[in-house]
Amino acid sequence: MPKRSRASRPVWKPREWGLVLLLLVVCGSIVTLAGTGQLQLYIHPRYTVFASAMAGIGVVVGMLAVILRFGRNAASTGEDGHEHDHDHEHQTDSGARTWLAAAGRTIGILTCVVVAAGMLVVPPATLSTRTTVDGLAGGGSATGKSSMAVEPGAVASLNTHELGSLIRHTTDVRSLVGEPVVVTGFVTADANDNNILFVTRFVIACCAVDAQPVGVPVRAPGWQAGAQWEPLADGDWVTVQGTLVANPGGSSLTALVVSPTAIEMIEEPQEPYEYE
Amino acid sequence: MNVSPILGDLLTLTLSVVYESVPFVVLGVLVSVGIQNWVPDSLIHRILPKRPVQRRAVLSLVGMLFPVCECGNVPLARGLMLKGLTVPESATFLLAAPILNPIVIVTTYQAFGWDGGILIGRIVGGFLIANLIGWVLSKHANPETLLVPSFAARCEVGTPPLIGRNRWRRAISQFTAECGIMLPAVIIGATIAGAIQAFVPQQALAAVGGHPVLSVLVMLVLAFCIAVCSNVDAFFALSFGSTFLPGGLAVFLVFGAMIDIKMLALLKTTFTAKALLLMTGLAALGAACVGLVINSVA
Repeated sequence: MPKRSRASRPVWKPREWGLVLLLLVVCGSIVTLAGTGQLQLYIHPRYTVFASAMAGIGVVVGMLAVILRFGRNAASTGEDGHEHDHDHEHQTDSGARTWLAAAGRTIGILTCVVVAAGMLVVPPATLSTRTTVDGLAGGGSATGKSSMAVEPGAVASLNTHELGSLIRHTTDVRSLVGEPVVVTGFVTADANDNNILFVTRFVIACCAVDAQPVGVPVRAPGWQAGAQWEPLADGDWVTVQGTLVANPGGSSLTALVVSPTAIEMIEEPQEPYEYE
Repeated sequence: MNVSPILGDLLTLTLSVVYESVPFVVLGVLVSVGIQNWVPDSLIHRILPKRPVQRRAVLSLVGMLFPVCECGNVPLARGLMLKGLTVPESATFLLAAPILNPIVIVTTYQAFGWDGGILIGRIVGGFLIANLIGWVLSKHANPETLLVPSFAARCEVGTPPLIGRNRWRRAISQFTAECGIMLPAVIIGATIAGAIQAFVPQQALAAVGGHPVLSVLVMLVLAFCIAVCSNVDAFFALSFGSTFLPGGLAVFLVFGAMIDIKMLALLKTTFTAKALLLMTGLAALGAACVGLVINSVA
């Protein structure tokens, strides 16, 4: 039996190996994050099952492709490589355009390498609090329906973004005064009134790219210095218990604030985001 | 490993778009490879009407059958072109399907109901704009030149029929090859979208949400920069409901589902820069018209 010539065996170029590796890294990361419950740091939990199923298929098919590439009969199947990406532009241009295309490709490759390395090396993380500065300026929340109807006594069961939306949009302030509340989130300073802090959460509709900061205003004079409670700083996670009261004044734009009976510092929870 | 907050946010934002998009890309590639290998060419051409206008109209409604957002539709449209669909036909499908699919319609209804004509504006506007762009492209003397040369060459060759184990082997090969084209595009698009999110404060844009014309223009820019999946972009737009006029929201929902930074990176695998410029310009113009009409009526 004649030995298969080396020339007839299909050979992947480094670029093709790189792309299969990229597929395995991206899909493998999704499967791993879903398995460890951390995928929701990036995307809405409603996608977890779908994302891990599709990524799982990506991993399996990617590995099958690698196995087939080493398989003895691969060359005789008609998959001789012409199906592979030939998306490089034909090199008919010269001079500046060729140079630009090469520079673009290099930047593209570097971006892919850096992002893939980020998936592998950098631990999964939430958004930092720096993006809340603009989001909460002017008081209240950046998201939420324009109208919310809440039965008296049901306020305590609202999560942070629902309560933030309610406080921001309600037109019947008096009906909410005296309602007990418990909210958990990270601390953001009110841009207009240093007696007020916002207990803030990011709310996600789809993925972290659409995260909107939503805050519940808490009136706690001296909160930075720790007059009544532990000193707090932007980004600290807290659980606040208290009641809703009319904002007694100051320059904050919010009409309702939480008057706290307890402010407890906590670790960042396992599920730091809230979801639409 | 500790990274600075802004770089950490950039990575988180980029990865979130990648993780959100890639499963849809994989699904789109699976369907595309399935169509290429298991659906006879004749079936597609038998089902579709012969007259170009009707053909494109039907194709723009095919999204109803494939509840896949814009990322997944790119590989699907490529697969359909390899099966013989023309450039204007695939472009029409590509632009209409992310809007005219059941998930998008339901989520838009959940977010806005019938308020302000946003839902109707999105469905009707999306259909009309996609078909308008398809019609314009059909007037091109040689639409194949709107494709990048490598993909045009693949379309010419098509996918010769195979049977049995060989077909599966080729399908696997096609799957990795197609993912290999799409993944870098998704990552590059996601990085740009993440960078814009990390460095440009959104609230600066929201300041002009109440102006009938500026709200439309700002939402065009926002839709282009923030690459949110069309399946759920209505919930994101809802967060601007109290500051933006309905026309602005409709613009975001129509234009963003058709074209954004991530989509342009994906589409660049298939269409030339000139074609993308034309499609982007027409989609933006069409979406702006929808928004202005809604704002003038509302």
